[in-house]
Amino acid sequence: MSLMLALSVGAVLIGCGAFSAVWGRRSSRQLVALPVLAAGAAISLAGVSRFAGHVDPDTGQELAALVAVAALGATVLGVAWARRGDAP
Amino acid sequence: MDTTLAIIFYACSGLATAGSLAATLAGARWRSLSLAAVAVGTAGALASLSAGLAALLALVALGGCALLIGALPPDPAGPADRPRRGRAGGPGLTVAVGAAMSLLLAAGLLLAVWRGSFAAGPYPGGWFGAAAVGRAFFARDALALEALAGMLLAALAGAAAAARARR
Repeated sequence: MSLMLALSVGAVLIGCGAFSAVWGRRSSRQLVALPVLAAGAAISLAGVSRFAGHVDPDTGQELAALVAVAALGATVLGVAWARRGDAP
Repeated sequence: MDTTLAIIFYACSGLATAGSLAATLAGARWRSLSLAAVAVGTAGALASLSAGLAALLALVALGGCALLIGALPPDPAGPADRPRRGRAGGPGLTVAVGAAMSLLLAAGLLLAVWRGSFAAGPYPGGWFGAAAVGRAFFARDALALEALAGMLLAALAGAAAAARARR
């Protein structure tokens, strides 16, 4: 394993997330992009922390966790927004 | 041991990538399962990068995203779940440009990764890192943690207000 491999996986996931954001017509499908983008960012940050963070190895892991939880918060709001038209 | 971790990383990265593509391209009933695969793959990749606590949090957070998005009701009109179509039946111009731009984004990021020269060094931390990351969360970057907690609270309040408005 290397830093380049971790960053490459992150780049591929971020590209997939951007693709998800433009592919669907409905917001329920576009919401898929949020966790995928967060996954790519988290893997990149953890990779930097693992392979290039010899001075401060905790910041990347901390940011990876923060990004994942921020994606959860954004998804909560997005799901509420997507369901706003479901009133009986 | 390093070979085992590399195999786990490859497998989990492949699972996350396949899950993300399946969540985009497959039908609505596969969306939750595909996003669960993204969550498990990401957590496994993070764990193989010696970020055990981040892996645990990512599994919970991304798994929650999968549950939330999977609980959305299926679109009443089936064709609306498909991508935007142009007049000739192919992908619309917006989708084609967007797909090309996302491909360009991934290619640009990969180019930056492979052509860049990054600093590298030995990893002094452990494989889980709960104590060190906890200290960073609650002591050094407490403001960031509080901002994130505020964001989650605001999101939950917004979701509750939206649900109340629907009734």
